[in-house]
Amino acid sequence: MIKFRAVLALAGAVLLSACGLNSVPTAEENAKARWADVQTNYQRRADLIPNLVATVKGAAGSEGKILSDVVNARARATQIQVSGDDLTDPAKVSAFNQAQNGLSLSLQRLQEAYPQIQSQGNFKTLMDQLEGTENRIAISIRDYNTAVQAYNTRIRTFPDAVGAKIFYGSKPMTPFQAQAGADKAPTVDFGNGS
Amino acid sequence: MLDRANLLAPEQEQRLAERSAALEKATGHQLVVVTVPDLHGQDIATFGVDLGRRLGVGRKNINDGVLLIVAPKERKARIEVGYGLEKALRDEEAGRIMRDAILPAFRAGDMPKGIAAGVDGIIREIGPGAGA
Repeated sequence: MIKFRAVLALAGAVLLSACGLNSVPTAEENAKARWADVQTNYQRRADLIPNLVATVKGAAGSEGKILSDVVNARARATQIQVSGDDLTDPAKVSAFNQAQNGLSLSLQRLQEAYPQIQSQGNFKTLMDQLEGTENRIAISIRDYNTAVQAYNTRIRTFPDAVGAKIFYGSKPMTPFQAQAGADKAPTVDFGNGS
Repeated sequence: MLDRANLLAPEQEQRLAERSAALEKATGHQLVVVTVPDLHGQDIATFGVDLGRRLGVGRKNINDGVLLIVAPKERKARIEVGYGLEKALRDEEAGRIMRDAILPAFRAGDMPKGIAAGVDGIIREIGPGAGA
């Protein structure tokens, strides 16, 4: 009798685990953790900007429109936070994405407006830091999208889809679209000039 | 050392390998030099991250690995720093090593010198007794 119940209990546990009881939350937590990394890296970029703005202002002698655009874009971008639970809402993710892209664009314009920035000592440090941060952002977005794809596939594919629907009411998470042509920071090249 | 693009003579490669081994022995950090004959259109940064992860450069959970990647065909070089070493080898320090130590030698056509200078610079930042 005991043996039979034990077998039944074991079979039940196996069936439950086979239907995604554990794997769905795990995949979800992984995607949320990757999202946290994305936000952390975007925040690092935002943190670099006050120093960048001050340095350009110091060199340029005044705060033009381009600089104030950067300041405003940064403020807008840091205002929008997307929690792990918001990731199933494409509108929220899109709003975050757009705010960050707005900041990217304003930074791009800043670099274009002050090309001499690239070669001056203090700016080199800032540009290195900015490029490093953009690089980390890109990597974390890639990792996030991989995790989201894994999660979305899991909740749609039998047998995990069973548990996903019955136990969790799982909704797909939203992948993150990095800005097209996002790599605007000059990559270091052997060639003449820098 | 992964000198797939064959930029280093055997004794140069050996010397660098010894320095890397000494670094690992003293600090646990792993430094790998990779030369790539052809990036096949891939971005060197993406290539670097993927390769570093695939090779498992740097101790697990400590992530204290550094890759020095050289792609002579595309004329690109990159220092890829693991998360665990980001405070020791900061973006601007890596940038300086690249600009001041590595690229001048590369532009003069001396690849081994540039690579050795890069390794020097990196070890100075992350080696035993390095400040932050």
